[in-house]
Amino acid sequence: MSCALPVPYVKIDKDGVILVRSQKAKELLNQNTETIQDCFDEESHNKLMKYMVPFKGEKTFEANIKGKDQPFLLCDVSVSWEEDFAHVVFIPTGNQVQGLEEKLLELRMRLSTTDFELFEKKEALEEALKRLDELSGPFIPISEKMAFVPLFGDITESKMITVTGNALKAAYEGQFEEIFFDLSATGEIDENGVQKLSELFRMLHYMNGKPVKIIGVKPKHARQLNSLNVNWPVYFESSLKDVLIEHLQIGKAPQS
Amino acid sequence: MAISDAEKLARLFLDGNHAEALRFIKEQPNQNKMVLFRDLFTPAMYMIGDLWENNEISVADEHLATGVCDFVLSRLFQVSSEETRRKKKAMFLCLQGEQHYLGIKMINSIFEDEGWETKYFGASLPLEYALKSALQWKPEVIGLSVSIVYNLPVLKNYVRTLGALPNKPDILIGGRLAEKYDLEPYTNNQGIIIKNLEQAEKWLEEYREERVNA
Repeated sequence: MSCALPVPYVKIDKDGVILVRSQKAKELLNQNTETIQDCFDEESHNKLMKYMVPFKGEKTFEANIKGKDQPFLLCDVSVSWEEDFAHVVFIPTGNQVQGLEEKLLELRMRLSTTDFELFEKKEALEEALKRLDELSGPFIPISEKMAFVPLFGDITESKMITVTGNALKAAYEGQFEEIFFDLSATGEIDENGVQKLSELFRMLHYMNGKPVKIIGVKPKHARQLNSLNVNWPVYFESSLKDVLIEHLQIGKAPQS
Repeated sequence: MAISDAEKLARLFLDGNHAEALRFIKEQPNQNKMVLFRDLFTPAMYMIGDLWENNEISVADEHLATGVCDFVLSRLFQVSSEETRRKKKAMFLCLQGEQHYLGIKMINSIFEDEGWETKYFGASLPLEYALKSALQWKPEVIGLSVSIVYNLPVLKNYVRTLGALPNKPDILIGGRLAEKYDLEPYTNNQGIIIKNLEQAEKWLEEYREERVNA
């Protein structure tokens, strides 16, 4: 009966002598194996011996098996004891680990060709780029109620993520009524950048209760901002100069 | 019980935490490479082997730890690219089918520090490639690593073939098995068995002295 089991199975006595083996076990193991020890790679013997004393229930462990076709085959080995006999099932897991081994090999090849000086330069460069992003959208308080954020260079997703973090923090700490974003020094705006920009404006709107104002929009930007069907939660003003003049006049008005 | 530094390192390897492992090594008070290899890297990797034997981790975990350890070694002890003409040459390889290459990677690194020009072939190099490379490059030393018992018969073949090269290189034999078993029968009286890092260092010292005296 046990011969027809669909897995490699052996029954052994307490000395490890193999009494019965399933057809699958015959296919897996060397023919001249007489004891269970013969089936295991020498380096797995210590592990095997821990399961050769009768215990209750069943236990499973990984071990390397000497296979008929492969001298070194990783298997999950399950053991259960029934008085003086043990039932042992081998489930080869070599194939599952093989994928992992191949990945590791790739990684190793990659490692051996990696120039770590270059690698470290690349890391330093990434750090510098992040710093550049931080500096490309400084949050400048002009007065207690007014803040000014010029956006320098191209507007990309990564830059906007960095700028957003800084701007929200500054807006939270100050009590600004008006926040101006200046696009005068802005280059290209890509699609993901626009998305992040509109998110930032929306967040600032909710925080302040007032929409932000955009100044210095060039015709090119107007087209890009409009092309994306974003419902901009902002007001547009023409330039910083006009805004400041207007504010200064309001400030001056009561005196005159 | 406080856990040892080697055990801490082993856990970082098993967690796949290469950044923390790098920092941990850089923070060691003694930055001598030999000491780091002997007291931290080697015991950490042996510990990982023991954990497998105790059924606490799987082969997949071991693979991850190996990859992380390799990365940390590569990152910290980069092969120097300076083009000074070095006089002595050594090549290092694992026998075909051998995947345990970290030990010989460390040995390779120690030879480089000693001013040797080295070729490191890493895991599983078939004998024919080793032979071809050694014929062309003519190294004074060829280091072999063996960690799996069923590979032992192959070792004999490697030693015999490489030992018979016209320039008569010294064949060093190391790896995990060298410490556990007597490899003498597999060396054809041609190989020098190196059981651990200390023995490698000692061999290098003696080699240096012979050169000075010669």
